[in-house]
Amino acid sequence: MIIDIQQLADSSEIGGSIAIVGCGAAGITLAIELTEHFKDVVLLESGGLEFEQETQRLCEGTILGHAAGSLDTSRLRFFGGTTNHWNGQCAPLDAIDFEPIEGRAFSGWPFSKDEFIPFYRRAYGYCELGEYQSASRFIEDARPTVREMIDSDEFELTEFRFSPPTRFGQRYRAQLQSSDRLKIYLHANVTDIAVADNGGSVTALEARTLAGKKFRVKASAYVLCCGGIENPRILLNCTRYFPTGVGNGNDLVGRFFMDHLAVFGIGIAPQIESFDYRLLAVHLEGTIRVKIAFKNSVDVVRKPGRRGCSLILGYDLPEHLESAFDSPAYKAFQQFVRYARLKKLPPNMLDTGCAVLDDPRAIAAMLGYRLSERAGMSTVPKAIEFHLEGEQAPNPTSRVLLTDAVDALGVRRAGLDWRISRQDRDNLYESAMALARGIGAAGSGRVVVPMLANEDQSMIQTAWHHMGTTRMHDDPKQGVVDRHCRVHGLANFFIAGSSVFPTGGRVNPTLTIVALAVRLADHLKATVKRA
Amino acid sequence: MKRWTRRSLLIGGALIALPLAGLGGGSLWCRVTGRQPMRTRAALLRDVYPASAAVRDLGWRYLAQTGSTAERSLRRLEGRAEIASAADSGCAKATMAALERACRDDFRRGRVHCIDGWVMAETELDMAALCAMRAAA
Repeated sequence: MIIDIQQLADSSEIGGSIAIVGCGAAGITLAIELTEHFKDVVLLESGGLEFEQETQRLCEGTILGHAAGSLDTSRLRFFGGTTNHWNGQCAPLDAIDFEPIEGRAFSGWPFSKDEFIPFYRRAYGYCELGEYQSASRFIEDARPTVREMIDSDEFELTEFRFSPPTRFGQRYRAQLQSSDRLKIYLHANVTDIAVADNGGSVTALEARTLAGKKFRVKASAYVLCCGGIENPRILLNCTRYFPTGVGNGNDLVGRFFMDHLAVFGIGIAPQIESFDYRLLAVHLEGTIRVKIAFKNSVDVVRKPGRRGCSLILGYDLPEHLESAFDSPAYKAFQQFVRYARLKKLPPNMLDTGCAVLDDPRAIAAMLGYRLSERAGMSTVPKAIEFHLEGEQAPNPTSRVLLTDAVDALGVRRAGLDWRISRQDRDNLYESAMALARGIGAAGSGRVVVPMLANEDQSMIQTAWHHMGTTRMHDDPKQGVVDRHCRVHGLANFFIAGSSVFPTGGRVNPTLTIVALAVRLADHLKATVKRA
Repeated sequence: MKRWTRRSLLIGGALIALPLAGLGGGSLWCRVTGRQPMRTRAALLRDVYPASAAVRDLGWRYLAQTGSTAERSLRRLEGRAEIASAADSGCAKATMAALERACRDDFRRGRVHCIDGWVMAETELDMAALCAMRAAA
């Protein structure tokens, strides 16, 4: 059942066995899992079923450190959350990401990848990725050619699978709506967390609408699923019982912010034209899109100062489409599409519209190509471009904090002080240089690396993957939540999502977010009494 | 004892003539296309790369970036046994092949430089430096 909380009387009380805050990938997965077991699950969503500008403005915040895009466009605040603009690229974390590495601070997860694989299997279903498998046949098929293409033992082959992408709100709305075990409350913004007098458990959540109505949500257990920025923001804002914020007794909430470090423009001029670079483009495995890429080998990741890094084939247009791709008409068309997804019009509507009408042939050519690409019929490119997505080391000075600005609910806004260390940057540079050396040694081409061997970080871009701000660790001095995602010191308060990642690995986080939500659901089913 | 027939003599002759013709043809081909016996090793190395504007520019940038000289580049190239031996043979093709192998080896051993972002082997940059000097001379 979906209820707009604005329709309820002011000061109403809502109750259930489990209260989930946030309707993104984690919250919706938890709701589906938990309604199999509990008869009265409550799901709170800050926004509505569709994009609303006024609610989205609650996400606005300040960028204090490295440029990380704006906080209000990197995530979405309506039913389905940020999966509403997700590109669908998925891969499980590598086994080494879970391992504590000797001499490396803040490394490892409280469990191994082997223990986590059953949850990845179930997460594949939610993300519509087919059956879980450690590697597809494409990797084996590609291996001999790749050996000729790159002469290096610093890389291994890896693959990404693409979700359709699953828009969790749209995909699972009917299923959730038809459940008589679940109540979804829209426009409910959590503004405070009430804690028992002994400080050992949460007793209620205080929620408000933008129109000013107040509500109280009571449950046996509570799960916060609002993402890597909003989870710490909520905890830090709730200072009624704990002066430094909920779960922040050791000053860890908001710290260890990580993103994936993206660098574009690693170009390859092929020396041997017969190489079929299509093996690194998107393939179809049934209906699932699969893409092979390089990653830093385990031996490289273990080296001091090195981390995981993916090297992914990017710009792969054939020559005759380069001008169409670069045309102002196609750029304007893309802008229209991006804004249309947000149900908005571009700010410079007239200019953009005129630009689109200037060259409809360029737009048609690009759309035709994109369709053929989806059908696995794209042609061999003239030049090849890779981009890097590198892991960032957990760093306590890289953090989400509160600024003095407040939103429409009177809640302090987030500031993001993203710090990238010299080591993080050097790992990207070394990975790109290793690719260049490997391609040169094979005699298959020459590589242009858009980075210098210095401290310049200007070419590093955000991947919009907000991680680590309520990190998981069994020791309360090193983590906000324990291995079961329970906030240390609070018996019935849990956090789901990428904010609990102790390390971020090199892969996109959504699949792991969903797998962690499935794992948490199993734990809640086993430990929380049914009402 | 079996007698020599005309057919066996023809076949035998052809079997002897074919390798000789191949050897002679190959030698002639190398002479026409690559062998320059009158040139010194240094001269061959200076001339074997086409001195296009892009290669010359690359050479200048390399020399400017490393603060080196074309003479040092030449000494480095002559110090590589395989390149020196190929150049001494006077065959441009063999020299080019040796240079290509040396470039691969440079990449394997990390003897590379970044010029405007392009990661290049030391050997090919040394050759570009020679081209730059040749054009200036």
